[in-house]
Amino acid sequence: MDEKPAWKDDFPISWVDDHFVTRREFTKSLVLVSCAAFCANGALVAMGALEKARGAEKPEPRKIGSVHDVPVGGSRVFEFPGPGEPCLLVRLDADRFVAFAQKCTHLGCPVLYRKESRQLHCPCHEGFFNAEDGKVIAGPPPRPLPRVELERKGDELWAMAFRK
Amino acid sequence: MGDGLPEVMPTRRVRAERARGMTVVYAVMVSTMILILIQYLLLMVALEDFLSGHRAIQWGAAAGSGFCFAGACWLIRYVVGRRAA
Repeated sequence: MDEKPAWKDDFPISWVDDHFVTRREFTKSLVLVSCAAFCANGALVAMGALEKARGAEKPEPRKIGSVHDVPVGGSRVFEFPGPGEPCLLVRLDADRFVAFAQKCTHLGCPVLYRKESRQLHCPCHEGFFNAEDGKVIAGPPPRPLPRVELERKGDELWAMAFRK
Repeated sequence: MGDGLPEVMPTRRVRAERARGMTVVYAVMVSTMILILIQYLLLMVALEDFLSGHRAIQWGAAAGSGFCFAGACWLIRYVVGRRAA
């Protein structure tokens, strides 16, 4: 009667070596999850403060191209004040250029210029901005797009700063 | 009882204490889960706020998350303390 059942050979289970997670251990691990969530929130605060400090610095003027690079009704992406910070240059008329930060003020999706309606469109959540001044026309964005001050030096276009 | 049960069977009092202990563990577990859920919501709100560049409620969300974490730490002492005892 001491014969070993066949399944014990096929599926040997060592109860001693088996790793149990007790309810107490699980509850303790929940506290670690809570700690991680708190740290993530803290990291967001730190990143926000860092960006704010960086934004307070006056950016260096930057040449963004020639007036001939953008056709009338066309647009072009450039980086300002530094790499990884895309902005959108729009040529409204022959002599009118405007530029805005390309990040939508809702959740940071890139906005695109729509020539036919003269609007900047965020395709993520259907946000619309006026291409003349960057103000919100429709959709969830809470604030206008930050506008870049431009200066024309001959045929060259320069981004000077963000307009407050 | 005379039904042939072994003598090592826990007494009623021990069983009641054990049941009470498990109730505490469950209560702490559920409470901590609720706190984590609140923290998750706060994190989502803070993340949306960060992405939109608004930065208006990040400090509040972080403080709320800190309170939840403190609450979870306060609750866990019941579980840890009981184990030690």
